Amino acid sequence: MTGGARLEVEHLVKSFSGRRALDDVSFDLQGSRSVGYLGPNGAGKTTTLKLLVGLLRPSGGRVAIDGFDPQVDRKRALERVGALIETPEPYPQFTGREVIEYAGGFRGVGSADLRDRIAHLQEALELPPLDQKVGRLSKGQRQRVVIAATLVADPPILLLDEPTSGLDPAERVRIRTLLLQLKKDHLILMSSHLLNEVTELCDEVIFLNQGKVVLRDSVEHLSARLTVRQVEVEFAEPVRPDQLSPLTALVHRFESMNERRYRLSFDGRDESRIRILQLCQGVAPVLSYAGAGSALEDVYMQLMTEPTIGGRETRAPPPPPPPPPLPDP
Amino acid sequence: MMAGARAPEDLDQFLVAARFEVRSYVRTYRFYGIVGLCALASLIASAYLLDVGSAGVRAEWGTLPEFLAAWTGYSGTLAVLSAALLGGDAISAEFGTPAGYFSLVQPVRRSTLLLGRFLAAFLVSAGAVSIFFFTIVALGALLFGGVVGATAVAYGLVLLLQLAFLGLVFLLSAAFRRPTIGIIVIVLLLYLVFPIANLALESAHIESWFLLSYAEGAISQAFVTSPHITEVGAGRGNATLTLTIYTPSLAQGAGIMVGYFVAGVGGALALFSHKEVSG
Repeated sequence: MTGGARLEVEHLVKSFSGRRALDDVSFDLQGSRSVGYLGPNGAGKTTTLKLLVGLLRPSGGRVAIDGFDPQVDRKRALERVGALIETPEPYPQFTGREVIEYAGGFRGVGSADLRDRIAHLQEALELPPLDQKVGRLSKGQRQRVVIAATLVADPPILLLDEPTSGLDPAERVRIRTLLLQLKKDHLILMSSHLLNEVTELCDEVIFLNQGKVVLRDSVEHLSARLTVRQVEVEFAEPVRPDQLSPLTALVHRFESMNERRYRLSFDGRDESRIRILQLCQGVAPVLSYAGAGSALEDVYMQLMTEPTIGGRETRAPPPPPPPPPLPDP
Repeated sequence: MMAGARAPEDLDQFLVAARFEVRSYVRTYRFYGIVGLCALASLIASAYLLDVGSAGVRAEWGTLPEFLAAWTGYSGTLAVLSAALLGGDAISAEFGTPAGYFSLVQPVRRSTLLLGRFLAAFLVSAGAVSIFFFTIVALGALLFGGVVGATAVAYGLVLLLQLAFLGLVFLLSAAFRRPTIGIIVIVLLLYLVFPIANLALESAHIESWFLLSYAEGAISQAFVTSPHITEVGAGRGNATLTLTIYTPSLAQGAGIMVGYFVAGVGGALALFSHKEVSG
């Protein structure tokens, strides 16, 4: 369905009153995939999305949607894009149905298609009663109506700026379920602060800090390299902390959850993880042994405190130092 | 299915923009305020003139053209208010509220959006002003027993004046970021700055051909041709002030209105097309 969907960002620069909000940002996304756009507040995520849909003009560089520059041919550039930027507030005196029809009208959705699409979206998003004026809806309900309007023409490219912001947990689950379906045949660029959500929804992530891309990598790759810097081990019987002394060469932090469960922090290397398991089994029978924490959280914290880590394109943070030599089992 | 479908032609999108804007207007208190004001003005004029009666009206205004020249001129006052209230935030709302994050990400040229909204504002405001205009025409017909052909010309000028006011209002709306400020500035400009500038220029014996309030005078000219220049003295003794009142010809008035309309809409298009949504 995406049929050559492509987002190009080339050496993008945006300055506000002399301050660089974006500094030489480049990426090129194609095909059906979901890409998380991450960074702290003020990193330039929303600015990038606004530049992509022509709400802002670049100070340098260019963007293109399927080859069309929104500054040059806004209509052609946006007809294949559904964008949810910030918290849009459509005409408050319109009903939910009218808000969706308004977007459908500009996107050439015929009345028969429109009825079908609204029915489909009403089910998928559990929309509030559509004859109610949007000004009277709750923030979450309004957000879902706007998402429905964004999706009414089923555009192959979706630009979503914190799409679940302001939604309650049940509403988030609905949106996530829908996005999981959409990413199969859409190109999605999504900014979010919810790292678990990004891990679940996205195939790839781009980290932005202080207006620069500091890392771009696949979630799978990051997970493989970084997920397990902590493991949780559950013993079959109570274990005293001093019994774990054989692990001290590999584990730099022991956290007792209870007398049988411990969280162990280590260097993240697979060899170390295997060796820790072996050593634990030497202490007491092990009931469970699993990674703890999130790859993205690890990377995020690392990048935000050390913004020079990583590179412009497809680079992961440097590998941790090698573990100390393993004692013979 | 719809994925990747092309957006409709500009004309279709223009009609979508106009249709939804009209729908939006008729659900606001402003709309009912303007229509109510025009209806109230019509009602007061009707009550007063019917109370004076045919003989009294003929004694005061002489002929039907003179009556219409005097009374239809008030349409301009209502045109200013309806233009300011209906068009004052037509563009600024996109930049001063989160509305722009919804409408400006649709695949529609901003020029199409603006022109559609302009059409909607024109239809609604012209409709409201027409209530008053045709009430006066009907009263003229009742009290004088007929209509004059110049009524169509005068109505055309009222509509042109409405276009001109809206052009100016849209330009100012595109220039301001906060809708409320935009409306206040527009009302002050049209009700205060223009009339004061007009008076100052008359006292300095300068023809204010560049002011829209000056062009309003052309509506009366459709019915009664007044001299282009009239000297009027005011005050007593050494404090006498001589005003030179200039009256525009039909062509001059229409030209000024067209100028304001073209410059206003052109300026609004330029500003709206290039303005960033950075809030």
